[in-house]
Amino acid sequence: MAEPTRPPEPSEAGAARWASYGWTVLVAIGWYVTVLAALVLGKAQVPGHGCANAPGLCFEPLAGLIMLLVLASPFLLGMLVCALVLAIPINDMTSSPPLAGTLSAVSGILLAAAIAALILGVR
Amino acid sequence: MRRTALGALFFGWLYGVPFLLIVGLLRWWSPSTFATDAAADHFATVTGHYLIAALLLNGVVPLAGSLLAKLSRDPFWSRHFAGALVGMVFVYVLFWALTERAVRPLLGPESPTPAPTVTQCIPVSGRHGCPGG
Repeated sequence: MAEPTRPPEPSEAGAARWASYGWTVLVAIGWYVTVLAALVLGKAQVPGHGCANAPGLCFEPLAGLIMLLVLASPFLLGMLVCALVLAIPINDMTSSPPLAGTLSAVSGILLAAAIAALILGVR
Repeated sequence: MRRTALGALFFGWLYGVPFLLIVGLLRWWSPSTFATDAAADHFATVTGHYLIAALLLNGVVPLAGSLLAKLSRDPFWSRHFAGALVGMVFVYVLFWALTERAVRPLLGPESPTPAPTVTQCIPVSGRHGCPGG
């Protein structure tokens, strides 16, 4: 006698949901890593003027890039947190982790930009 | 095994094409100075290679992935490569929108440095003066 199909236990459904959430988060983080790496590696390939004859304050392109990343790190961190939070509802809406992760990454940066604009604009 | 290959193909497209596109467009848009014309031409050629690779992969990988997923009857990756076809069109439209008002030729060496145009009167001793001294 074949065992009748039963609906998944709540704990099983929860486990599947969290596994899917994990994939979604990995895809979103993958987007941020890819785009940051492309920006850094692309910018590092462009030859700059160099600081040999520069009057006053001057950053070599790579040093300037590192400083920019350090300055942007609070925003990058906030963007990541926004994406991780938004990934929870987005992951429930679609059954595809790549799609959910991509949407989370995009909405994470949009939300972080909106919050940053709000904070900087209110002052 | 086949699922892993399809997954690698999919994520290669998902992350590889934007990576190549960002590096290529950054190289293309960034103001840069070179000691020689040959160095400038070489830089422009490599930039063109990045962009060509991005645009080619963006077309080939989703199509090949769709075909392979259909042949191996994999519903999960069939669905995802169908989504990749939509993404492919999106990337092409985005690329067109970004490069529509190009000031430099997209592929190949930059146009040669234009001859300087004289916009000011330059007084020449013994020949002519300029209005206002």
